[in-house]
Amino acid sequence: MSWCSRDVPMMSETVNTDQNMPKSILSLSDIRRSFQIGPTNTEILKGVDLEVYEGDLLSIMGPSGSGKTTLMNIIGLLDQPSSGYYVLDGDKVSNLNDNALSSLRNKQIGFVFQAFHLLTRSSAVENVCMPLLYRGVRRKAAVRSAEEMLDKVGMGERLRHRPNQLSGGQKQRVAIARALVGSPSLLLADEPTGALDPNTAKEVMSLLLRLNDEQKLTVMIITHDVNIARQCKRQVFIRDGTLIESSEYMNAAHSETADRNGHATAAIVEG
Amino acid sequence: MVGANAREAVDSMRKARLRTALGIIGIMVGISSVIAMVSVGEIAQEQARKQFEELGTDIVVIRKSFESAASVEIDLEDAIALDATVASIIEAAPRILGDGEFIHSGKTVGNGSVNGVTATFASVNQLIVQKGRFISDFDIGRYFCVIGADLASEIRNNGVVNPVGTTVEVGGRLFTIVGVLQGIEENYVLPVQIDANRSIFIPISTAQRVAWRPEIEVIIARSRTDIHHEKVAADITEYFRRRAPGLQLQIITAKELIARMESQMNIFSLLLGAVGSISLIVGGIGIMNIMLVSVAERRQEIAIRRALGAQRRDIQSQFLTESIILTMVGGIFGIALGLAVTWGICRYTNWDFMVSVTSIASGLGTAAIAGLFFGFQPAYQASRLDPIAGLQSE
Repeated sequence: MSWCSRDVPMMSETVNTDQNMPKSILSLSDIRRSFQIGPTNTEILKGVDLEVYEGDLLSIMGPSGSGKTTLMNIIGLLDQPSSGYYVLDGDKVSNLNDNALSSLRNKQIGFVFQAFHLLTRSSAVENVCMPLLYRGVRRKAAVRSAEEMLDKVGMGERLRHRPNQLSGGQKQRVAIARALVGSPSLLLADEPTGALDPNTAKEVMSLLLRLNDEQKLTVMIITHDVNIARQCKRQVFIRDGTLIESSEYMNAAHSETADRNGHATAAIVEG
Repeated sequence: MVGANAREAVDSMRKARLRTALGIIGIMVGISSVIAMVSVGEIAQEQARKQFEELGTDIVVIRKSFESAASVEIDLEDAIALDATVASIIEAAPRILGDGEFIHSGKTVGNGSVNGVTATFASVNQLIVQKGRFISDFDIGRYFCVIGADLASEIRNNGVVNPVGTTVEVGGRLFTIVGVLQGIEENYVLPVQIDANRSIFIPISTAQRVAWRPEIEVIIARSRTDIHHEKVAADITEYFRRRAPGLQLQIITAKELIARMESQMNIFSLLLGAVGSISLIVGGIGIMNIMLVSVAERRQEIAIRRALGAQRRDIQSQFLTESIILTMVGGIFGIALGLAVTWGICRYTNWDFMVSVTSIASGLGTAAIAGLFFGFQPAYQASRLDPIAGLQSE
């Protein structure tokens, strides 16, 4: 499988041993996550393997309850797997403590959320410079970097605006600037266009595509939208806590469609 | 990060004005209570010290102790010879105390103490003669008296322009008034009360004859200021041990009293401070509530910050900064209110108002500590919030 490998290094060694191979940014091996709900132990992720390389533009699709969010939380270092190996940009992150996870999240991951999640009381610049401040960068330098990043995403004219003074598309641009300001290894976007109208969604998607294309930024998009997924270089599907290859998934969907006279395809694809 | 936290805190306080105002009022009342209570305690202490100083810190009060044998009394001759024999004593003034009704020209002009005294009594107790003279050592056995200022005005009210030379009847005996005292402010901090304005003073030798209890009630003396009060007391004890074996004395020096009073006042101030602290605790609980509500309302913000890389201690310090700023602002207003209340109390009691630096410093310190103490739990709670749940909340 080109996108999936079980040969993940055990510790924090660099994945990329071959000079011609692209650098591995993210490597998941047999990731499992279960939750104890009352007396029942429910396994949400049932052995996920995934390899993401530098410059990848990857979409993760799957129906509701398939484990998308759990996987995103683990990849985004907001949650820890119950078992399995996770190597992020050469660092083994399974079993790190909360402080180490926070620090790694600050440096390696840029989040873009469907609901933007900007701090409502802070201006665009203040929102964008926040990851740098938590990294210990001096305020002046952080503000300068934030202004440059906002300029890059086309928000140079709205530096002092607060979120309630911005449109949905502008808010998402600010969120993208905030995600990128710390030069992360991975941009993790959870339904980045989900709350936008079609035109604005197109603009935001173009921005992400441009960043991936021009700056070789590794982008992982979690989406329900087939059109968004189609614009990505790679599509990965998650179903019942396991990842399946794009082609395998489409075959499964196709046979189900045949069995049920075409009723299941939309349900599987759109969740 | 501290500056950013402070800015966030001020911004958050500005957004929730009513809640902030209520929190500030709570702390303000608490701190002002502490400031007012501690200041009043300190001012009262200062006032008492001043009263002592006006009378002199060299005063010594000697009494027969209750533990003493009933048959042994202070001898008048011993009392009179005290200042001449004991080097640490400058002057000694024994007193025999009685009381009675004072009748002048057939009318009752007052009720009060009849003090059998020697000539030194006036100088030891800083009594000033306004008219005539004080009791003299040559008035042995004479029925002369010196009257206090209030008594003199009562007599004048009866139409007598100059009471000196007239007679006053006490306990069926007539005493010729030889002098009138100037009015004097009573000093309540001394362990012996004179009540000079409403009393009469007669020769001690006469009192020995006419008083119901002819024993010496007290010796009021002045000691040398360069000698330690414990040495003075030891000298007096030694003097009476030789002169009157078996006589047990109670010797109270002003300095000892001041020290005792100061320690009592410190306890008093502490008690007042403790009373004030109760309101501070109530105010602090208010702050804690406000901060808990703030944490609950800002779950999503906390989660976003955590997602952006904030560590638990960053979140904790952000909320702690907020509660400290809240209590410090309350503290500053509280200091102003506390000082105003103290000023009002001083005006009402005629005490000298003074700004106690200690109370201001302790006010600000207490505010900061209250902020830390009452803000800790909400801040800790904030730092422990699950970022995943926070991001999913609306």
